[in-house]
Amino acid sequence: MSAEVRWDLGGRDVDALYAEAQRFRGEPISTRAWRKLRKNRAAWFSWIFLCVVGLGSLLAPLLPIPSPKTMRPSDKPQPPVWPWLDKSKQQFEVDYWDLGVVDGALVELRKKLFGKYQTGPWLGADTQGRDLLARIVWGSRKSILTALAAASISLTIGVVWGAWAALKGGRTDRWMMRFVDVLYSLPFVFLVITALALFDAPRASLGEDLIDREIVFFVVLGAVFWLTMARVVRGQVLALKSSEFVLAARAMGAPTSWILRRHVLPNVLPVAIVYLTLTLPSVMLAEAFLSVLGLGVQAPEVSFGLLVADGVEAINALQVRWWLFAYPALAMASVLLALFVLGDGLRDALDVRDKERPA
Amino acid sequence: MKRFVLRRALGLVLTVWIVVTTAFLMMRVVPGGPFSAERRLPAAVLANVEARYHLDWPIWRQYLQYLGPFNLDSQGLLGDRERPFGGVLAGDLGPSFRYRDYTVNQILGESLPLSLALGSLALAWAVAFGTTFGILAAARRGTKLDLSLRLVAALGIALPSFVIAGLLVLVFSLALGWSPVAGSSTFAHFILPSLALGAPVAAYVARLVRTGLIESLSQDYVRTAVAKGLPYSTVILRHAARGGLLPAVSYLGPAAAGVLTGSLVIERIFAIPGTGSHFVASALSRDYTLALGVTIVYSVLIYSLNALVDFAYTRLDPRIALEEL
Repeated sequence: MSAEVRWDLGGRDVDALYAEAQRFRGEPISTRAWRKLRKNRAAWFSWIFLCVVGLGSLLAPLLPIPSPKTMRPSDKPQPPVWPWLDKSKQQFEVDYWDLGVVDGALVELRKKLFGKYQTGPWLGADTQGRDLLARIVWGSRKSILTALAAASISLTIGVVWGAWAALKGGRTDRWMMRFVDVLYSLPFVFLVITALALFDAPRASLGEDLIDREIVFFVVLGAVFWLTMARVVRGQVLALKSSEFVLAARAMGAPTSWILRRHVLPNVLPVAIVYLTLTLPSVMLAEAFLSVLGLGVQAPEVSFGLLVADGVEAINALQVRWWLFAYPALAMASVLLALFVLGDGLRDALDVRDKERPA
Repeated sequence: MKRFVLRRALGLVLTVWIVVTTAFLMMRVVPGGPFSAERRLPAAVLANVEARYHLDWPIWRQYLQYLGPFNLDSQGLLGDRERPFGGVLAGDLGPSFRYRDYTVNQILGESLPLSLALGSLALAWAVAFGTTFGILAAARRGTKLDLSLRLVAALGIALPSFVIAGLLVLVFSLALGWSPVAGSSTFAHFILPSLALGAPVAAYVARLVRTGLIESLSQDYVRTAVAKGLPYSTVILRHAARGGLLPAVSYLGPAAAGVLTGSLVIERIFAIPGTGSHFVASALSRDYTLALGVTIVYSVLIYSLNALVDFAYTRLDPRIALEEL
């Protein structure tokens, strides 16, 4: 807005008033939240931990760990060995499933950086002699990427749906939210399992590339988790719609698209990100759950769910290979816990809640 | 009251209809029937089998037959005169595709009691442990006890139930030998599975109870109760708890749904032949009718439990009228 004189301000110097107003800068909601988050020690620690884990798992092809696929069959499963007692001198071999271009380049870089060196069986190996440390790192990568993909789908659907309902208002709003209510009462896991099982069958009989199972997996998971997102976003947009600064902008004649871009979107995004953080652990849990049932990620790739499923199977009366259960469970639990703590911390920092539905 | 029951009944019918229709369509749209994966049947046998399950009918007719309430079995449009009713609306979930000699109703009749026993035991643990620990944590707010209970609750939420199941088996079955590893023949077989199944719910309940109780402890009527010299335990259990437990009560509906879902995995791990394990097996082997039947029964269960919980909520909190729900 320019500072031209529009209103009668009682003969006061408009330029001086404008200059004074310029000095006051509202603190953006994200900056305040960030400051509050840094004060919350548990949440801040979780954030750092997640950054480290995320970076480590994204750069998994670059780390000097064995391939998660290479099998070294032996009669006795390899128990964990402390790094300083490690006498094994296994050489690294390139042995992966179909990696993408980026990952392939990372593996090349790794070969240049570390040569044939690879870490020993510090966390032991599984029944087929695959290195557990490598499998956990690669598994975390798969789980994190899956969760991110599915959560972004839920974010997109949820934000568009919720914002649209709130902006339209009236009957459209009522019907759109009634639809969400109906979906809430469906037993989704059952439909998801049915869908995944169905899309699994034609692949077996009709060849590989008919429907990419992973895409089905993401879409199905994303489609399940957008409901809460839609509700939260709708609530936020409704509140914004009647807020004073939007009224002020409107009174000054700002166009709707400008209001949307300048006022609504920046204030909805933080809230959406909080719910994204809270959706991530749920998606990871769902992925693990489906993997245990044999419907999630398929071998030879690994994920937290597959690892834990293997671990649960390794617990039997004949032969207790505790490390196969303990380390994957520990890794998964710490990531999930950190995500929950961070999500809670962010939610407190932004002070938003899904008021319609407890828990 | 009348309006509440009516609305919920309508909602239930709508939900079941959506579930039936979606699942039915999903199953029919994807190519490959339940009999195409097996070793190839001779054409005549296949035709016979498909005729028995009405797979040779047009889809709309299969759908109407499945939905009911009229039995379209014979040639005429008006249907069979001896068994005029059939389909889901008449309570008949049809024959199973895999277990050739059984109807879905029979399979559910055998497996559902096991799953319900497991589920209600898990919910009972969850409520008992959750409220006790939640009240303890709220009453001793800020102490080491509170902190450690909160940590345990956070772990309970972050750990999936099958990890907890693994831990329990490792400790109580293999290390200590107190409990059987798997099976369903005695009550002892149900203790570990139900504990694992109830643990995440218990953690949630504990958190909700703690938060709710802390909030209601700051209310004026609680201060009055303390001021008139009532013992702290009476104040908490008789005055504060009533309001403080409300959030936990409203969580019980979703909790029941969570327990039913979790039982899919837990039943598999502990080899309990309940409805959950049947469901997974049926979805994988494309046993349409069984998978659909389980989905329908579970949606009815979850929906009615939610309605029941909402009803209980209004009894506990007189500020909320039934008509608003």
